[in-house]
Amino acid sequence: MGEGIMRLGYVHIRTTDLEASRRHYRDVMGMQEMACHNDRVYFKCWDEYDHHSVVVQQSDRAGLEKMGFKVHTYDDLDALEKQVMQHGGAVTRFSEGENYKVGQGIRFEIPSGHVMELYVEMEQVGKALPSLNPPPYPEGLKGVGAPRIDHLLITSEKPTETIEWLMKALNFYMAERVVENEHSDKPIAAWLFRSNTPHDIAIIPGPDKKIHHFAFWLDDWFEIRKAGDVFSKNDVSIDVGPERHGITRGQTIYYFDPAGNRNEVFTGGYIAYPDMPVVTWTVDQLDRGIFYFNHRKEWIEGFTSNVT
Amino acid sequence: MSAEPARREDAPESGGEPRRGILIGEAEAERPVRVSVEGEELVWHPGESLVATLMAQYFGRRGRGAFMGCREGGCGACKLELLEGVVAMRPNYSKDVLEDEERESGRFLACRARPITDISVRFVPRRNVFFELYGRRLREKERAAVGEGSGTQPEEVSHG
Ligand code: FES
Ligand SMILES: [Fe+2]
Repeated sequence: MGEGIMRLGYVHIRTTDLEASRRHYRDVMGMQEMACHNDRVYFKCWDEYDHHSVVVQQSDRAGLEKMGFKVHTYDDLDALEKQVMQHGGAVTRFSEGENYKVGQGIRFEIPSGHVMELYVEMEQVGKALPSLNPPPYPEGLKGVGAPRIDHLLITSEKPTETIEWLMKALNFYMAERVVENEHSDKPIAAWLFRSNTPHDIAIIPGPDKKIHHFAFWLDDWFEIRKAGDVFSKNDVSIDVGPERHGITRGQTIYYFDPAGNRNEVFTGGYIAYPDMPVVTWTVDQLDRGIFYFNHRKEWIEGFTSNVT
Repeated sequence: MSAEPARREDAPESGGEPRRGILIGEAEAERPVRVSVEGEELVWHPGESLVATLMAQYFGRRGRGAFMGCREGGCGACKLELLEGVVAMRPNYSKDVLEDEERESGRFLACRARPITDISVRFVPRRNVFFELYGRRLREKERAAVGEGSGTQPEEVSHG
């Protein structure tokens, strides 16, 4: 097959208060509001050029409606469709325009019950910068001013099965994993990638169909601190951070949107290549794996159990 | 909101204030009320959510960890069982963590709730698979270190 999945394209989440969520993603995160149709609002970050990367939909519950991954070519899409079916996935084809501004693609559930879509084209609207001799960033960014989304982390009742499925059916590569002890080869959590970052999607044990968080990229540690200022100033509910991850080596603040969906601002990490040796963590070292500065070991419990 | 907001259709036959009830709406008591939780007495102040009261007066003290939860009606970490009294809960919470039936049985989310009367509540325990694995493995290591056998017991995560 060709080059397969390129990157995480969109995260479509639910909210119990659309107006509050709109203010959060637009005024606090500094995203551009691209469109608003009845019960949903479409946003993109300033360094993204496709029409949107976050869709927020009014609902009576929080959580992940679906996630979209962008694929290189239509040949890749056909090949992935076959692979998904070979691995037992029930695939639906969707036509151009069924998802606003998105071309045709396929939709299926992964073993954890999360809905995933693969597509090749979304209308390109361009970055908030010219592509000829651009300055490094645009003027007038609001709040955090996040340049792009980065990854998401989901929970699964059978995480090993979900991890192996994503690697076999969709050709995800593994950057890091958690095993029960040093003799075990069975991943109970994993950080998987198709781009060159340590994760586009990660899976930890927990209830099916739930999202633990999705993350915005920021350029450096200083920007993380600035984001913390913005969150406190706007009374955004901060969960944990600023902190350092052992796993992925990222730097982070976790916080919640107005429906209780966890967001993250993330920077750092390393460049991941398909041939990199997998990094392994044993479960007893998880406190450092999740929060490297967490010597008091007091955050693991609520942090891993609270999902939407 | 009047000081006796609880006279409503869901009041008991006597016509007095219901002893226990969860209303939906923005109501709250006009003056501070008593909150009794797991054997402790706290005071809720007008203008704050019940989870704010718990964070200010219950969590993070006397050996208890800090409260972890979204404070936005999404995660269910703040779920309480109402033993006595009346609360009002704002409607913008996730039905994934509090279904209507469960609410009718007397459970509610502290981060979306304000008391109408003095209340008495207790926490609803939750499970956390990942944390159980982590805790179990740590205990196994400790036991191995002192030369005992290892048994495994899943644990409930409790706020107590
Ligand atoms: S703290 Fe998450 S629902 Fe109340
Ligand atoms: Fe993350």
